[in-house]
Amino acid sequence: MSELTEEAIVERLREKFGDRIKAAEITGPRRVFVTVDPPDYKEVVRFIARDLGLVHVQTITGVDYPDEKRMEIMVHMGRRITVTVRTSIPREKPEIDTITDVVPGSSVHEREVHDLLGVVFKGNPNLTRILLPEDWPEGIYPLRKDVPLEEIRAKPLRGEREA
Amino acid sequence: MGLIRWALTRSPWLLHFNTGSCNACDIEVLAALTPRYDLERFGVLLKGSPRHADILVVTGPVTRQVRDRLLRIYEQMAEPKFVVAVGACACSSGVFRNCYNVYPGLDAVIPVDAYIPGCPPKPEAIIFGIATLLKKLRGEL
Repeated sequence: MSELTEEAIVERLREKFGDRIKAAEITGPRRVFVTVDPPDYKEVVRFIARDLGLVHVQTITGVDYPDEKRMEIMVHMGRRITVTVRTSIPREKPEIDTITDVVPGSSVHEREVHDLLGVVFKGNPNLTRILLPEDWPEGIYPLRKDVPLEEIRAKPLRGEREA
Repeated sequence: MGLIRWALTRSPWLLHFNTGSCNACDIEVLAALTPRYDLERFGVLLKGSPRHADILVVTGPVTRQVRDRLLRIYEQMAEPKFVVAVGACACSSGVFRNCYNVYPGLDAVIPVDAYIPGCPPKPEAIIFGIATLLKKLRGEL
C-alpha cells in the first residue's frame, strides 16, 4: 500500500464527497479527523476502507453530550495514520448504521459501544452483551453522563463495608 | 497442634487467581515463587487446580464479571481453605473504588484471611504475608 499523507487523505475525501464532509482537520502528525452526517457515515467508512486502503478499524468510541442532546460516534481507522470519522446522533434515538458488512471485525467495537452507551447499530447481526455481566439491569448504560452511579454500584455479597 | 494443621502449615499449596488485575501483582507473585525468593522453603507450591490448593491468592479488583467464577473456584477448594488478598485492588478495590463494575474489595465477596497491601506489593511483602498466615495457622499469633 502506497503511503498516503495526511493532506492526501483529506484531499481525496473532499474530492469524493464534497460538501458532505462537514469538517476535516489534521490535528497533529498522523491524526486526521473527518466529521460527517449520520447518513453519509457508512459510505465514508467504506471509502476509507476500500479506496484509501485503511481497512483496520482500531476501535469505535462513543461520547455522551447530554447538554447538547447528542452522542458522538467515532470510528478510528488506519495503521500508520489514524483517520477518525466522527458523526453525531440524537441522544433520544441513538441509532446508526452498522459497518460490520464493510469491516467485519468492527462488530466487537460496536457491541462495546452498544453495551456501555446504548447505541443501536442497525444491521449488526449480533448486537449482544459483551463487557457487562449477564445480570446487568436492562436499559442502564454506565457510560452515559446521567446514569445513577450510586444505584448501579455492586452490592457487597457479605460484610458491612460501604462502597 | 492437630495432624491436619501440622501438615497444612508445612505444605500450603497456592492457587493464584487474577480477578481483574493489571498484571503487576501477578508478576510479583510469580517473582516470589522463583528460586531467588524461594517460597518453596515454606513448602509453598503453585498448583493448577483449586482442588489441590489450600490457599487462594487473589490479585486485582473483583469485577462483576469475574464474581461468579471466583465463587466457583472458592467453592471447589477443599476445607480447610484460606484466602490471601494481594495488592491494593484485592484489598479494597484500589483506584477502582466506587466504580460501577467492581466490588469494594475481595472481602465483599468471600472471607479473607490475610491482606497484603501495595501497588504492587514486593515479593518480600508477599512472602511476609504468607508466612504471617502460616504463623496464624500454627497458633503463634
